[in-house]
Amino acid sequence: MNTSDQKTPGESGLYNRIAVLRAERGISRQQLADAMGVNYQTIGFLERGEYSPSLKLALSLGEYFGLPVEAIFSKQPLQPLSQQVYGKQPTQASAQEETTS
Amino acid sequence: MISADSTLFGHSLARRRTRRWLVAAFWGGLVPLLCVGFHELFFIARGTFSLNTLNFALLAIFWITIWLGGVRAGGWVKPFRAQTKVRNILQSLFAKPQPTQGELTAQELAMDEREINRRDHIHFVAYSIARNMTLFLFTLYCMLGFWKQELLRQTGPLIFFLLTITLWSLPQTLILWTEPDLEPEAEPVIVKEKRT
Repeated sequence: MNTSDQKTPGESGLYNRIAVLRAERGISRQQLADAMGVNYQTIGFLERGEYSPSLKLALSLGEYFGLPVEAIFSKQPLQPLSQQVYGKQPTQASAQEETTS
Repeated sequence: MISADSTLFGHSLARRRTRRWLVAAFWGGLVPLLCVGFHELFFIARGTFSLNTLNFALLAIFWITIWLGGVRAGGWVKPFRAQTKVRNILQSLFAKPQPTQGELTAQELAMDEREINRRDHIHFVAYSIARNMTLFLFTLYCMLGFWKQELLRQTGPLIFFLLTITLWSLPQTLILWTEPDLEPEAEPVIVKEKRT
């Protein structure tokens, strides 16, 4: 499973962190889909940036993860969470790991 | 939408390649066959509608419904219904789909926002294609009326028949052709490591 932040915006033109947040909390797509009341395929489409969610779904995701919507979706490429939280640049090893994942 | 565990002759409809084969077989095999059959019956009846022609046309619509289904109509492949699993062909045509395992709620049986968006978009595309096709066929019909009245008498009903088939199955065709490969339903649940 790809748990890194999304590298390309996909068809929707949005970057998102759903896969990272999902992996961090140890939940499957099906579990997240059940909580959101959508098909599990829709979670896959969201993670790959192939679908722009409605405002209602975006807010529901924010509520579920306990984060503001802008921490999950962005029009700009998202920074790695570690960098955003601690203000650190990714090390060579972590950058390499993210490139391969 | 298309269920990831739907199969057709043992091939999973989750794969786009299988769905495209189905569409190709439908438009490349079944539709020409039905058109030829309809035309032959009509021709035998010397350019007039007979009971045989009418029966054939109804049977053709029945077959089309079986193969590509529809929004409300049945069929093996139900691209516009959520989580539909049909047990037999009769159920697929007339009965309401029932979940095969467990009890699904009304919310789970309904399509979600992406699926509804997709369905609406596909119907818009199908309408755009059908609109142009209707204009083309109407022009053809008028031109034949001017210059080849005998040919018009023979092919007029066929044009109408082809238009009917197209309008009934175009949205389903488009969704089956364009929807990407689906991911398997049973994704393993990630278990968090316990910290000691």
